[in-house]
Amino acid sequence: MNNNNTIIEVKNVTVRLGGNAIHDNLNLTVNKGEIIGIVGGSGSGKTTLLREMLMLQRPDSGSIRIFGQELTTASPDTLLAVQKRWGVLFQQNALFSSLTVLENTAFPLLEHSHLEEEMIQKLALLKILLVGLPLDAAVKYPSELSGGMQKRAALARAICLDPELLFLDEPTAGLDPESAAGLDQLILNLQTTMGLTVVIITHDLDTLWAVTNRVAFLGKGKVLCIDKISALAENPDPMIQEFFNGPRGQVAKRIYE
Amino acid sequence: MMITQSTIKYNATKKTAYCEGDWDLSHIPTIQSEFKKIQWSVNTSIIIDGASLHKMDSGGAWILSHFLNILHKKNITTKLQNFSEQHQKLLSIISQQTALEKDIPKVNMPSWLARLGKNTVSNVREALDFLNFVGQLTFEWLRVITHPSRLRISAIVSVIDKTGYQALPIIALLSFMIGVVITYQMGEQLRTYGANIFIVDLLGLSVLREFGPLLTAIMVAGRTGSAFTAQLGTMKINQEIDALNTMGVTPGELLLLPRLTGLFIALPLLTVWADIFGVIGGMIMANNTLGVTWHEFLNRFQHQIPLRALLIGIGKAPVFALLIGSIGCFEGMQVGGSADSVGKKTTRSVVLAIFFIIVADAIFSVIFSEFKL
Repeated sequence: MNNNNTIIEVKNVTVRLGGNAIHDNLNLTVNKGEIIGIVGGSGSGKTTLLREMLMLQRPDSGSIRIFGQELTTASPDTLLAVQKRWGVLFQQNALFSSLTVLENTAFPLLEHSHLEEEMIQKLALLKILLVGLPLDAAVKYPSELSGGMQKRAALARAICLDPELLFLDEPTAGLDPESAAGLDQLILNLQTTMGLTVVIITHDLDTLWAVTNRVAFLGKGKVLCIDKISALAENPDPMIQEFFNGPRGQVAKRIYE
Repeated sequence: MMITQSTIKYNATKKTAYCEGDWDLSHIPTIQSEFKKIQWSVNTSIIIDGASLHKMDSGGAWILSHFLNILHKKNITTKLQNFSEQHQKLLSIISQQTALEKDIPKVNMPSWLARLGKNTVSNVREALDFLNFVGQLTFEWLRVITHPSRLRISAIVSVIDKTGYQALPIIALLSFMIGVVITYQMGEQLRTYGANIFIVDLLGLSVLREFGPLLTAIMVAGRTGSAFTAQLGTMKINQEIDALNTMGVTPGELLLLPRLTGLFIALPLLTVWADIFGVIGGMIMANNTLGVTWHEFLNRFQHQIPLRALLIGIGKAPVFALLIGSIGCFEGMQVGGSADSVGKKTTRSVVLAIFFIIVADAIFSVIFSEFKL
């Protein structure tokens, strides 16, 4: 039986795409209230793992439990109940281009809550302000915003239903260092105030050092190691060493240690 | 654990309001209606107690700070007590967002006059852009034609395959049915005069001169013009067009001219194909309902229908092809920003192409009648 602190439990998941084993008996557990980073080289299956946890892709075998619910065999109703409790920030933002930022943010509330229109708008606006967007950005269309603002807008939509679990796919990719640092701070703030559990997929060493509690390193179709980043960086595995102790890794390590 | 109801209770003697249960999104309406029922003491100071608050999310925190604002307006001062650290943090963050108490910003909708003006200007501008585009393409074409090695034969062949060869079945079916319909409708009238045999003249002229080229062009505008716009538009959004430009390969040479040339070749051929099936459809109907046999039909056809009729019909096709191709490509290159824009431009491309095909056809009719063709 699960203990209450486990939010995500990925067990013995195997998946093959086009004959290649992407995951080979992969296991991962995420506890309540932690910020976990998922890293790995290109092609190590980070995005595939995310897509499996989001049920956008079915694993060939194995089990994925989120909030104690088995998702691989879940009925649409069970899945919906889980879906209402998580929020997702996609790598390309995936904002609806035909809706304004406010409409984008209000969308999950309109679909899944029974609140009055005005209340929904206020709550959506609150989330827009919380992620640090100015008020007048609310009536703009995504294409009128800069990359950093689009990321924030997408984050506002992801946290709109006050999810307990937040998935962030490359949240700082393509942002300037200042916006990226701002977003790191924002993630930390949201995590402490809203008590979120956050799963971050990223290549950004700064984000990993600044934000995460634990980091899972994917390689060879498995989680090679999962630990605090300071401990992970000392792991002798050559793949991990290459990742954390390359020239960039050294710089990030020096700053945060 | 006992499940407490999500509510707010007020004890007038202790001057304390108790927040209880889950203050989250789903409970906002009940909490709000409870709040409205409370008779607040006036001009006093009250305590808000959060000790039996089980859970509070940002929605709950917002509704609480909203209540506090309402109370302040009634000259009631409030003090929070027994809120957990996390709830306090959340509340303080929410109460910092003072902008929330303002009105919700609205998308600016200009008046109808302003919109009319704006649309007019943007349409005129688009027309100028189109002329510019045609000019550029012409230059591009001259450049490519003087360096025949730059002519992309395989791309042209692929366009002919997609827009011509693969359209053969649908065009055949469509024009066959048109032939059937024309014969059926006109045959009714002709029979009353006992002039059945004249169906050959009517059908031959109308299909070869008008219906064949026009219907084929409209079909191709819907099938191919839209495809051009959507392909180019998506490439534009993916910055593929920009990539080409930076590599010194003009999109005109690689993408636009092959499409235009391919369509220029394919559409007249498709028109001949449509003519054949239109006449066959009419012939079958004439044989079945009007008693005009195959032999009579074909015999009269070759004497009564001048070659001119066929040539005029086919002669229009290249013009239609240029219209469809250039409008399809132009709208594709006009796409910007979002997926929404691809949809809009694709619709526009089809509507404009069909519109101009019919306008061009009308102009042809006037010219031909001037020259008594």
